[in-house]
Amino acid sequence: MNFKILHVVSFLACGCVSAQLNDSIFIPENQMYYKQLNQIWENPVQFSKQKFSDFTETELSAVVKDLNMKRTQTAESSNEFGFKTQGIFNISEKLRLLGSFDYQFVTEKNVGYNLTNGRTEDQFVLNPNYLFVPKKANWENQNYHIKGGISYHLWKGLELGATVDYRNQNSFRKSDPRPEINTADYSGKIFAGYRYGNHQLSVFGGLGRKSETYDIMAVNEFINAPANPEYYVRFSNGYGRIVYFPSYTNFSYRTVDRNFGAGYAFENPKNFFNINFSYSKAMQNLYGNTGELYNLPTGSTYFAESLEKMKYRLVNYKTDANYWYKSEIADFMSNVNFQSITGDNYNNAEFGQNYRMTLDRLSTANNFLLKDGKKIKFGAVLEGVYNDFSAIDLLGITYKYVTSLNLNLKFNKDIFYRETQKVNLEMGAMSYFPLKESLQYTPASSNTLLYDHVIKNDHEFDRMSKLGPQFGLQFYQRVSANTDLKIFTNFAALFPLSRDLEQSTEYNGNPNLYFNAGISLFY
Amino acid sequence: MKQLLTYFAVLMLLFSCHDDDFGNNSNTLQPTNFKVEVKYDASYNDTSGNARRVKNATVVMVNNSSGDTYTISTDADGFANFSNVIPGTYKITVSKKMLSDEFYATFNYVSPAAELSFNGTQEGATINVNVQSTVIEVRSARIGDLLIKQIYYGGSHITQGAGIRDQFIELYNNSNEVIYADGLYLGQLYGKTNTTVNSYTQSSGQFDWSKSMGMTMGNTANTDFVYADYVMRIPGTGTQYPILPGQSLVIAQNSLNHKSPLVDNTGSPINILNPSLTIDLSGSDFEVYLGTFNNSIGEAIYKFDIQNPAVKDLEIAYWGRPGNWSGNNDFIMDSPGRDSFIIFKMDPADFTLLSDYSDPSVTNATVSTRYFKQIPINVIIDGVDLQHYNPNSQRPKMLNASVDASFIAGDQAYISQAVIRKTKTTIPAQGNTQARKVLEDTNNSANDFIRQTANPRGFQQ
Repeated sequence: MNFKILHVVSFLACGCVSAQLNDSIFIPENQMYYKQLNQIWENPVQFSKQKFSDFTETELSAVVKDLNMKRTQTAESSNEFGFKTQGIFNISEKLRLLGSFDYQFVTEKNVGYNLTNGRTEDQFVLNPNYLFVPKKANWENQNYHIKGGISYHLWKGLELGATVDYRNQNSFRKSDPRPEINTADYSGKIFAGYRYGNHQLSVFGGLGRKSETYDIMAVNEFINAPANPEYYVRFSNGYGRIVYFPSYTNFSYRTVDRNFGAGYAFENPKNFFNINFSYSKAMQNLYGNTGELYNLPTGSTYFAESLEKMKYRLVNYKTDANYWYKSEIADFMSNVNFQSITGDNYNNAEFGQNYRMTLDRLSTANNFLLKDGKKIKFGAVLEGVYNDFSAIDLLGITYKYVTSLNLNLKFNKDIFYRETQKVNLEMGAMSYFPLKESLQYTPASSNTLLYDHVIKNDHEFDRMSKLGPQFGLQFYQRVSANTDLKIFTNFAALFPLSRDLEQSTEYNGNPNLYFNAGISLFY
Repeated sequence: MKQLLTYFAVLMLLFSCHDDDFGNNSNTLQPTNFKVEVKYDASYNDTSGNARRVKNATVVMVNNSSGDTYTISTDADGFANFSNVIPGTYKITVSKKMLSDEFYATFNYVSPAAELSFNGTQEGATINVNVQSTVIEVRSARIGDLLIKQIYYGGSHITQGAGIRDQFIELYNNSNEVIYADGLYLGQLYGKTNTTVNSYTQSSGQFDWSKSMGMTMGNTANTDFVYADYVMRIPGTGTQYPILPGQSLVIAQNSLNHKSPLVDNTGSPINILNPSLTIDLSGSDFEVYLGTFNNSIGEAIYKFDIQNPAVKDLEIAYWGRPGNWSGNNDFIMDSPGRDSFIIFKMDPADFTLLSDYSDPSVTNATVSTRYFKQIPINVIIDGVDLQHYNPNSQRPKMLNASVDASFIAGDQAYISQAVIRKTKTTIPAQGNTQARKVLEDTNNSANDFIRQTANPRGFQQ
C-alpha cells in the first residue's frame, strides 16, 4: 500500500517538467511563502493565475518536545521523525498540479486519562465520547498523509479544480490497557471558478469519510476493575460525565464530513485578495460490537445501525480572507480567519444530549518581507489568535469558559548571503494570555474522577499566561543548477508567567521545550 | 453560465444540513426529581383491602449506565423523594428490616420471626423529566435456615496458584436445629450476560423466557421460575448428611489440597508456585466429579477434573437435554462473576418432570441448541446473584427480590477472593450446646455478603 503511495508521489513530484514562469515565486525561498502554498490547497482555482515556480521538496526532520506544562491528556514528552515530499507542477498555462506525501513516526511518553489518538496539546478538550484510564503509558504512532490537487483552466473564464486527501494513522499504547487504533480518512473536494477580468467567483463542495477502529487488548484484562482504579477502563460521555461502555474491547467511529462554500478573488500584477466562506458538518457515529447483540463477552465491530451507540456533531462556519502585496523589493501577506464551531453529542440509548462545545476563533497572520533579489533583507511575522471557548456538560455537571489571546512575533533575516549559500536567522517570541475564564462544577454524580484529574488541571493550564522565545536557523546551499539543500533547526521555550499552576497541580515548574531540525532538498 | 449556476445550486442543496440529525426524540438531558412510593404486597393489605405503605425503608437507585447511586429512606407516608437525579435507566432496590414489635404495631398480629426483612426491586426503571415517579411493592424475604455462606468463584492466580481448579461453594446451617443435606439440589443458573435490551429480552435486559420455543405460561415464566444449565444433587437417604447448627458443608470443584503439587488426568504434573495463593480442599464434604457422567455420554474427561476417591461425589441431576448437553465438562463457575446459584429441595421424581426450554433468542432448534431446566422459585431455599467485577460488563439479575434483592461482585478474578456472608452475631455456648455464629440473611446479597480471601469453613474477618 505504502509503495503505491510512493509511486503516485514520485509521479506527482518528479514526472512533470515545465518551464518556470517569469517573476514567479519559488516557495522554498522563505518560510512565509509556505503560507501561500497552504492557501492554494484551500482553493486551487483562486490561485491559478498566480505565478509559482515548479518545485519539489523532500524533507527529513525530527521534532522533540518536552511538555512540562500541559493539559492532562497530552504526553509529557514526544519525539517525532518525519519524511515529507511536496511540490507544485505547472504542466501548462492551463494546468497546475499539487502533490504532497507526509510520514511521521511519533513516540510519546506518559499519556494519562486518554485511550484515544486525540491529544489536548492544541485543543481545549477531547471530543466527548472516549475511553480513558488514569494510568500513564507510552504510545507509538505512525501517520501517513497523501494529497493531490489540480487546477485547470477549462474555457474562457471557467476554471475547475479538485483536491483529494488520504490519511492513515496507526496508534498503539504500550502497556495495559493497550488500544490499537487504526484510522483511515478519505476526503475530496471539487472547485469551480469563473473569472471576469481581475475578479473571480468560485464555489466548492467536499465530502470526507473517516473510519477509526479501536481494538483494546490487555496482557492482564483481570485488573480492569474498579478495585484497580488506575487500570479500570472508563468512558467519558461529555465533559465530566462517566458512563459504562460494554463494548470497550472493540468499537469504532465513523465520521462523515460534508462541506461547501464559495469564494471571491481579486488580483492585479501587484495585489492579490481572496476570501472564502465555507460550511462543514462532521457527524461522528460511535459503534459498539456484536457481543452486546449476541450475549457474548466480546464481538466484532462494524458500521451498522444496530451497533450505533452515540453521535457527535461538529458544525463549522468559516471565513478566510487573504491579502498579498508583492513587488520586486517587498512582499506583504495578511490573513484573517474566523471560525465558529459548535459540537454537540447525542446518546442513542438515552435519546438525548448532555454536551455542547462552542469555539469562536479569530486569527490573523501578517507577514512582511523586504527583499534584495533573492536575499531576504528583513522579514517580520505577527500572528494573533483570539479564542472564545466554552464546554458544557449538563450531566457532568461542568461549565467551562475561556477567552484567550495567542500572540506570536517573529523576525528573520539572511545574515549571510552568497549566490550559492545563505543563512537565514529567525528570532521571535510566542505568548498566551487568558482574557476571561470561569469553571463551574456541581457534582451530580458520585464519580468526580474526570473533574478532579483532568478538567480542573486543564483549566488551571488554560488560565495561566505563558511567554517564551523562539529561534530558527536555516542554511541554504546550492547543490547544482536546479537543486538546493536546506538544513534547518528551530528551538522554542515556553515559560509560565505565574506560579499558579505549580501551586495547584503537579506541574514541576519547568518550561516547555521544543526543538526541531531537518534537512530538505528542493529542485 | 446560467446552467453552471443551476448546477452549483443543486450541489449546495445536496450538501445542506438537516435538522433531524439526532432524530425526533432528541431532548436535553438534565437532572430531575424522582419519587418512589413503597408498598407492602397485597398479603399485608389493611382490613379495607388497601395497600399499606412502608415507612423508613431504604431505597437505593443505581443508574444502569453509570453506576451513579442514590440512597434515601422513605418518609412516614412511604415516599422516597429524590432530587437532582441524573436521567436514565435505573435498578431500584428497596429493603426494610422489621423487628417483631414493629411488625405487630404495623400489621396487628404476631410476627412469624423475631426479625423480618422485606425486599422489593424494579429493574429498568426509567427516570427523566417525563417519568418522575414509580411504585415498588416489597415482599417478606424468604426465611431460610440453610444458607449459601461462601462462594469462591474467582479462583487464584493462573500461573502462581490453582486458577479455577480450587473453586468451591459452602453451605451453612444458620438455625439452631440439625438440617439434613440429603437430596439437596445445587443449581447454576443461566441468563443474559449483558444488559442489552432487544426483542427477546425483558426491559432489564434479562431473557424474556415467555418467548422461548414451546413456552405457553406467559409472563409467569419470568416471575415464578428460574432456569438452570447445571443442577447437582447431594446424595443420601434422608439422614445421611446432617449439618449441625453453626456448621458448614463444603462442595468443591476438586476436593484436593491445591497447595501441593498434583498430577492431572493426562499424567502431566501441576506445580503450584505460590501455595499461599490457594487453599486446601481435601477436607471438603463433597466434590463435583464429572468423569463418570462424561464417560456415560461419550465425552472425554476434563484433564483438571481430578477425582479424590475419599470424598463423596455430587450426583448430576441435570446437564442439559440428552443429546443437547450443556457445554461445561466440569463444575466450573464463571471467574468474573456472571453466575447465580440456588439451593432447593424437591422430590427427585418431581424434579425429573420439570420442563426445560431453550433461551428465547433461539427460533429454530438444532443439534447445538442448549436447554435449561425450569425451576419454580417457591422451592428455592436460598439463592445468590453474582455480578461481573467490571461494571462495563454488568449483567441483569436472574433472581427476584424474594430470593436476592441485589447482587454481589468481587474485586477482580484470580486474586483468591471469595464472597462470604457477614456474621450477624455470635450466640454463646450454653450447656452442651456449642457457641455458634448467626449469619446475615436479609436476602439482599449486597448487604449480606462481603469480599475476602477464600477460607473454607471460615467466617467474616
